[in-house]
Amino acid sequence: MSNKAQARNPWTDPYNDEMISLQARLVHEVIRRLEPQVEQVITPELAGQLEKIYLTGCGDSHYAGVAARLAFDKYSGVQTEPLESLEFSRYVVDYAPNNSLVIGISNSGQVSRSIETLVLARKRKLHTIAITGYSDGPLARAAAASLIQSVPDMAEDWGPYSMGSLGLGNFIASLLTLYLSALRIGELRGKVSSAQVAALKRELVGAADIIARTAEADAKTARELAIAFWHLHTFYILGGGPNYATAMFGAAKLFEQPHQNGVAQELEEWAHEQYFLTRPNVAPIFILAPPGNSRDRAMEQMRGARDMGGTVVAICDAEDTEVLQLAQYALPIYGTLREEFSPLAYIVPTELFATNLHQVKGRPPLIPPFGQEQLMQVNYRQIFHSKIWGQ
Amino acid sequence: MTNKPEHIQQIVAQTNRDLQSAIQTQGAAMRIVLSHLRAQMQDTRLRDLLGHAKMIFITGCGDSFYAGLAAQQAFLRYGGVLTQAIEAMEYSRYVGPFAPRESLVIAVSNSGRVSRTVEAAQLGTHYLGSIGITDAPTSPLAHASTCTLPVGLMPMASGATGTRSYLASMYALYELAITVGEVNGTIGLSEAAELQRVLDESLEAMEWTLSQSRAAVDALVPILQSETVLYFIGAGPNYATANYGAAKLLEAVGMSGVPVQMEEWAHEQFHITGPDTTFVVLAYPGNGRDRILEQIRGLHAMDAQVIVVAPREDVELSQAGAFLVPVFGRLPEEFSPLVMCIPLQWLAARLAVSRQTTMRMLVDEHKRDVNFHQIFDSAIAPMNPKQIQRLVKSISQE
Repeated sequence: MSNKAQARNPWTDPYNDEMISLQARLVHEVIRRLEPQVEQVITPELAGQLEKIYLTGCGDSHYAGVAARLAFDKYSGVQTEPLESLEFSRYVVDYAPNNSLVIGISNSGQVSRSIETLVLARKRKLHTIAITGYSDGPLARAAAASLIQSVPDMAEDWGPYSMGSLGLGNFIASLLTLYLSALRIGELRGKVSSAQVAALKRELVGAADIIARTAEADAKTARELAIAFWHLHTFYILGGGPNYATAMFGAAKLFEQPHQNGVAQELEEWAHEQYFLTRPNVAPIFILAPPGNSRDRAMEQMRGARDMGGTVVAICDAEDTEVLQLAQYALPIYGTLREEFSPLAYIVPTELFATNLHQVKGRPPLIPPFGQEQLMQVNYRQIFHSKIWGQ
Repeated sequence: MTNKPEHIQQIVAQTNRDLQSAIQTQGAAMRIVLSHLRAQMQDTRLRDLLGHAKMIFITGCGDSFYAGLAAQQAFLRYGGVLTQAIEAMEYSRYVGPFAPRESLVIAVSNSGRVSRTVEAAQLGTHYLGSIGITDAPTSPLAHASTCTLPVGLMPMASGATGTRSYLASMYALYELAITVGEVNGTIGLSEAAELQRVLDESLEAMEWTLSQSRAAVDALVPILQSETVLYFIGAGPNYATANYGAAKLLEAVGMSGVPVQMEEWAHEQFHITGPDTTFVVLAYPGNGRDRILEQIRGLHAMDAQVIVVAPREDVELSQAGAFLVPVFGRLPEEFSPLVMCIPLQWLAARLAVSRQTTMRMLVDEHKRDVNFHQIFDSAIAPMNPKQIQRLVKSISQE
């Protein structure tokens, strides 16, 4: 890690492309560190009695749950529902089946609402697991068991600001931990064989190369798009299934980095909603079109957006010429992952775009006397110091 | 605005008059709807489906999806069956193929023509079955469903801003939630009757809310005249209201409306919040009340303009914003979307009048054709039992 990167202030300075590539390295590390933990925490007894799984979190941690749902449904054999933390803790926990597993995700382990989900779940005697970066944090203490993804440690090893900030590495770490958990539960329940699990894990490891190749290959185009779109303030990102999470994650990076309005929309819903605002030269539409169950619909929506004069950026397989031909611009993915694992790589293009937009455009200035310190104070207060029910 | 051709100006003016009229008369329309729905709740086939459901997916697109989000809490609380509101494509392409065998799909589409909702209903018939909530008896949705539940409204003119259809869908779902609970024994007959009485009261509550909130909304229109984006914050059942309010701006005003789940504001839109941003906070007393107050304090700390939609009798909530839009406050939270959506309908209608806008498809045939093509003519991916079995088998063989 360069000295320049180490001196970076995560609250104000743009990422650089190197930080995005570093996520590839994270894949190997997380799998290596988490595999034994998952085997220890998810026991045959636990897996055998599950009726329902809830994946809860806020922000990127919530999106990791949305991204992992298909893998859970497909491999674990247990009906799984991702829910935003407050939606679970205030509106659903009372009605969860007795043998539910609630997985609460928060890298910092300090997010009040995510702690609340586990506190209230335990009061109901539901099974609870925390996925977090800190074994001694409040989230870990609230859960019956924890999976420690160690991103903060890795960040220290690789450079203090290389990981662990604003969700770049955390998202991939959470996602991998969830995938490993889904496979473990499925294996213990006889839904998938050990050989299948081994093969699927090899695919997960293979995501590292795809992330690295994509980060490198798309960097120039992301820069060009940031320059072409620098004067725009709103960006739509559409995705379906696991990549609806990718869309939400991409929108979040636009909020966090250049402080621009990222609007994530479920792929189908564009025709019902943002269609009304689609026109030439206004808000570009990034459409996630991986091989899978919504590729046909993504292509239909691309045609529709083009018919309305919209600007379409395809995020698709680099060899999918049919999709590529429908878009004015493309940020392709260099390698293939099955759809349920595809968010691992499909997050890269919008990360690159947000990073480059931040570099090109900077951020809207804060109006004095309001300053960066106050901004951080308010943010931390809202997220970490909210009153927790059940404590 | 004023350089629009005269015939376009006339269409805009007429459709905006129609929209306001539809909002002002929807209380009466909903009386008919509710009565029509009640008469169908004794249908043996309907009750049989509801009684055997181990899991319920409420699905639809756009407003129909939001109606499901609004009603989910009532299903959980009174129905005694695990219930998820889920967008139609998310069900038909991703969640449905792995649904429990005894799961029931409730598919909502006023027109009955929305491809993705039809697709979801078709898939549902390979499990326990599908109930299609639609007023189009010969529509693809009606054909795809095990049985239909007409709400008693004529399908709205295609292209019109949905107001009554949204309320009617919610009433249909609330009636179903009560009926599931009654059939399952989760609630007794007397509690079911009491809940139906609450729904009866909601009709007056809607009208009361419109009468009490109109002046406040009208006063907001000039304040919001130059806004390009409005953010709508809500949680639980009123996250649906946030989505619905945003959709009405997109449709009727051509203005960007962005729904924000209440907790998530601090994680996401916080970063773009400042003196030039306006948030409409859906502040109905209930399980999120304490968090609403915390987030409003946060919005103020970021110097945002805050409009609160809340009952006056909750003094703390109603005084928390810079502006108050009052609503009826004595419905249980799970039924509150019935009144919380009313001022948002009116807001969209009045902004449309003020900006001389209307749904773009009403004044541009090409744009209408594109929209209808996208929504109604999308290729439906048929999923039959063999395909589902193949899918499941392929997983175990991978």
